[in-house]
Amino acid sequence: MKITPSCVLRVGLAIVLFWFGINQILDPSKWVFFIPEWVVSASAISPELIVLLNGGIEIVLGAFILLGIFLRVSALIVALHLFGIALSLGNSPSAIRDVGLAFMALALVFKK
Amino acid sequence: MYNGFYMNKATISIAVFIIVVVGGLLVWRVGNLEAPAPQDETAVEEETNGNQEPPTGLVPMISEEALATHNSKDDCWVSYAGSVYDITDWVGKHPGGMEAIISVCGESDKFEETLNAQHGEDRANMLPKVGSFIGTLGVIEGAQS
Repeated sequence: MKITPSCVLRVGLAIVLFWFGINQILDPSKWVFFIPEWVVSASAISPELIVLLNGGIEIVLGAFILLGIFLRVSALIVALHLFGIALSLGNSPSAIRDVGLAFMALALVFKK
Repeated sequence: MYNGFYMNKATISIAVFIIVVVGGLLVWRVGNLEAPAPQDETAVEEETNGNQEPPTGLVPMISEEALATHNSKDDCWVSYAGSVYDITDWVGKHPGGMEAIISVCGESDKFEETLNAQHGEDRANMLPKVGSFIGTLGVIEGAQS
């Protein structure tokens, strides 16, 4: 397989999405702290379940991005997800990191 | 490799397989979620009030000095907006690493600043979820720890 900038981006994003997704599924109680209050208020399900669903979606999106399935759509969803997280975090180091990751995902959306 | 909007059967099969596997994992995991332990009325009241509004009634008053003694991974209390929480059980679970939390154990202002800076202000509402409410921060002499 030829190594291209796109491949490197996909592997990098997939690693991030797999790590967070798997950890959220293994122990959702670790992650409830990161759910914005408005999400908890607006949803009828428990914070743990929100974390589990989010983890599952991140693993699926990571796999899709890694394998190149629905690549642009998956990358766009990941980018919007990350921008949303960054926005909810406000002015913080974690938010800046997520903005960087979101732009990585956007690069896949607009790749030739 | 996927290129454009054309999807062949093999690609769709792989996508469905991934969704089914992860979906099955989620269903299994949801079935294994711990059921919430029954709470007495006091505990419910404390959790409902959270850190936004100190609970009413008889609530232990904890001094800054007493709070500062609970500053290790085995005994970690923090204070946010005047409410004190025991987050000892969560110290080892912090996704950002144990050390990040230990550095703010026994702290009030520093904990608030760190929490807001790292995770945003509305995350404080989840403190009752990851810790247990201990009391309110005060300066009354003889406050119990």
